[in-house]
Amino acid sequence: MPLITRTEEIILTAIIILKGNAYGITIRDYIKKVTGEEWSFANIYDPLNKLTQKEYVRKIEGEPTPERGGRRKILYEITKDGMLALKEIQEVNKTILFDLQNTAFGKL
Amino acid sequence: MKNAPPKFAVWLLSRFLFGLELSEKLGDLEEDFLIKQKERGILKAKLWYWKQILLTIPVCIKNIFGWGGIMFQNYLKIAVRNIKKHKAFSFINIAGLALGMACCILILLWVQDELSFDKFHKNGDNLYRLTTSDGEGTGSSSPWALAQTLKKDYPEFLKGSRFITRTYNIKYKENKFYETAAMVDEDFLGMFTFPFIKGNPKTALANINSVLLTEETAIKFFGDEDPLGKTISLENSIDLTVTGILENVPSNSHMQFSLLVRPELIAGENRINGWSFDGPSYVLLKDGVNVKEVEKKIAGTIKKYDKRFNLNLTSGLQPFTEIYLYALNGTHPVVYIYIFSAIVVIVLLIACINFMNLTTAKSSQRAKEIGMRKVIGAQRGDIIKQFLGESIILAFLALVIAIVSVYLFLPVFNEISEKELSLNFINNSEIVTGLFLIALFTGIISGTYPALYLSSYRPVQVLKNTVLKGSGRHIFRKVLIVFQFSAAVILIISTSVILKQMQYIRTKDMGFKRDHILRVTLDESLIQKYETVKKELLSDKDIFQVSAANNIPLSINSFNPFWWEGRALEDYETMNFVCVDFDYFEMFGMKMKYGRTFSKELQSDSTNYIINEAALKLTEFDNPLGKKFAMWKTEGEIIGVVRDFNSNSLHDEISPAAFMIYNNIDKRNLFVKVNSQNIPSAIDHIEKTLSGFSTNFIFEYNFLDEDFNEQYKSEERLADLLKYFTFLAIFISCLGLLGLASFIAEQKRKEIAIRKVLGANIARIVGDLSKDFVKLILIANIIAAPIAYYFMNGWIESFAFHTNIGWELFLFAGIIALGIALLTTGFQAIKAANKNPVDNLKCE
Repeated sequence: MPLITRTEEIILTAIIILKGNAYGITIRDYIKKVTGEEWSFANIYDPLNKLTQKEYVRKIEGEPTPERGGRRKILYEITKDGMLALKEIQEVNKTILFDLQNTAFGKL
Repeated sequence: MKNAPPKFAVWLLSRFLFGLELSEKLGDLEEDFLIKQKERGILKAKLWYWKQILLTIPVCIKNIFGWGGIMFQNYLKIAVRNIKKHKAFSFINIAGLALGMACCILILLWVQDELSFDKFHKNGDNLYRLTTSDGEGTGSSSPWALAQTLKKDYPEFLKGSRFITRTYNIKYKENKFYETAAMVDEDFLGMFTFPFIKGNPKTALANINSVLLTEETAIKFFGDEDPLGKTISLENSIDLTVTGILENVPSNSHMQFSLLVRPELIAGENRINGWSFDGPSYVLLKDGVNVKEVEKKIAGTIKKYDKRFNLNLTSGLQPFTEIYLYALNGTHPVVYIYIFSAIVVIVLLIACINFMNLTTAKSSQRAKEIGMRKVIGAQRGDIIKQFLGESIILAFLALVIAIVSVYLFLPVFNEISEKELSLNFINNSEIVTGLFLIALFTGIISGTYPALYLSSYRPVQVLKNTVLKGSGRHIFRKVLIVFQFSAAVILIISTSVILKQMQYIRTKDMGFKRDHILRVTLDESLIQKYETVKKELLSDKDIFQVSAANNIPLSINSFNPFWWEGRALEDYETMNFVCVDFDYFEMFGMKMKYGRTFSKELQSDSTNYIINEAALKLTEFDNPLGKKFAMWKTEGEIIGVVRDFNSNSLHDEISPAAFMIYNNIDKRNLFVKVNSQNIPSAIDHIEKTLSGFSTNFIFEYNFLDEDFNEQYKSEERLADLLKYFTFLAIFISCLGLLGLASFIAEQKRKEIAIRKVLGANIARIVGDLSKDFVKLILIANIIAAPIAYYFMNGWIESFAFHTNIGWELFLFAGIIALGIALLTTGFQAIKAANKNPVDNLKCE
């Protein structure tokens, strides 16, 4: 399995942190919080679709609410595979950071 | 709901996403939209929403197509690479198609405009013009009283109005101009759709002194003033009150006028309720009546009411919308619509054939690509899709180029065709769909053959290089070339026949001279003082002759009842009538066959007649001089016979006519023959003299030869257009031939090289390469000649006076086609033959 991308990593993290209330809006809010930038919906749905295809997340249908024009909320939930993929990338991140601190940062 | 997201954006997204996915995105977007709206206001929220949608759509498209999209990208890439690889070839291909399409668009715009003639009246389908036939021909004029009589007698006639146009001297304060006024009845406004700008359509023509102006005329006379209620004077004697302003009359209306007036004050009671002919009348019929039946009922109306002369005239109905397209005299404009539509088809076909020829010619070079695609797993359907798609894309590319060039050339085209055409996509849905269909049609037609043919290759054979030797496709290509050149040759022949006929008209001896003769329309007071005016005019040394008549020798049209010796007393025959002044025949150089012209010395000449040869034939006199002759019961003698001259368009035979000096009829048209060396000073003298006699006179003049040219302007114009389109058709054909010749030279480069090595000279090689094309073009000529002859013979017969279609035209067309073809192929052949054989043999 190839590593997931940075975007996918952030989205997966968001889904874990949002605990059962992860859908389009909340995920975007979280991304804005961590990156400081507002992403377009397209930039979120495309990776979300790919994650769904890879079965790293699954969709759950929520209840319709009036502020959504009576439409159902689609909530996202991370799967076991998703967890594993996230762990894998975090391992990589940790290693990179460790190496970096030992070399480059040390010399600065 | 005011704070809802933009509806159109929602609709747009729903085109790309479906079901749960759509509802998820829309829900999320709407929720966020509400938050954004609270934070930053509705406008910013909407902008944000739009941005989100627009960013989402490309991703959606990519997802929908998936693998299909990737293959599509590949097809597109290959198509672009092919265009780039054979730049000259692709240029010829696309430019030819674009040129053909541009021609089509222009012609279709023209045809559309022609067909739109008189179509803007709401009652159009129930409107008819009353016609009158005398057994030989049908005229557009009908008696003054006819429309009202029919309305009274038959319930089928709802409304009726005369429409008699005359040019009058119109004056408001200091402004005086000649304007075309139409005498109409109260019913007129209810029959036709000429929208009002000011005034009440219900009452505008209720009074006999009402006048309606078109916007243009109103501005001309009144400027910024409000014209309503103001008084203008007509011929300085009749005061009319402005009761309404109409929108300008559209150029695609056969009824043209600047003022609408009631006839009562102008024409007098006897004339208005009488049965003489001065112009057309129109009627509005009830919905759903049987026109044929009605026509039968009204046929004898004139005979029934007009007891004076017992003329054998029958009335008829002509549908209003056919008046322009099926003119009662001359060539029907609809004929030209057919000719031009045929050109559209021919030009488009020629362009398509080019495209097919060039594409199939290139096919052998793409055989390997198709072989590879099939080996990798492409189905035949995929190959067909690829090639059809490619040609459709190219066709649309050509369409874009065509539209751009139409925009560029439209002003020039408008100048030639004297129309005001414009390419307007927003309110011209016919053109938009038309263009789209043209491109699709061209793409599919041009793509079908290569698509079906190329997809049938068997990969093994292709990759082993063993196909492409069949002779079938060569025959197909040859047939296409023959077809293409036949079409081009037909166009060449047709155009040269039309040009020859135009030349014939221009140079034909009409039987009278018309150079350096001025025509001026006189007003009432000048007609009264005519003899003094004439004397005063002749005092200038630059003025040679002065005469006058009630009509112009170019258009002598008036039904009048005649009687002559040997006929029963009350038995009349209709004939044209011209009321002339002395010197008329001398000035126009009309020759006498028998007898003499009118003489000032003889008092009795005021009721004597001169007739033309056609009239002589009608009377069947062996010795016409001295015979009794009468018009409207005014009896006199025939004193002379003038040789026939063409008084009307050359479409028609010369009609019988009688001339007399009759002082009771106004000779409104003044003719002045001036010294060609000194025209300006002569005109100056005429103006001074005429203005001296009548204070309110407006001096306007025409030269008779200009009037004459005006008659054939529409045909000259069409001949011009035809010339250009023929040139384009030939050019497009040649583009195709050029492409094909260069391709064949390229294919045969090894053969040429080997021939050269073995000692063939350049002339021999060029001859070999051109031989095939020459043969095809000769065949095309043989096919085209009889077809062109058949059609053009039909056209030329519509002129009573016409030139003959000589064999030299066919020879000319053949030589042109052959010459151009040889030039294009020969150039390629020489280029190929001059190449160093080593360059072509050393590769591989």
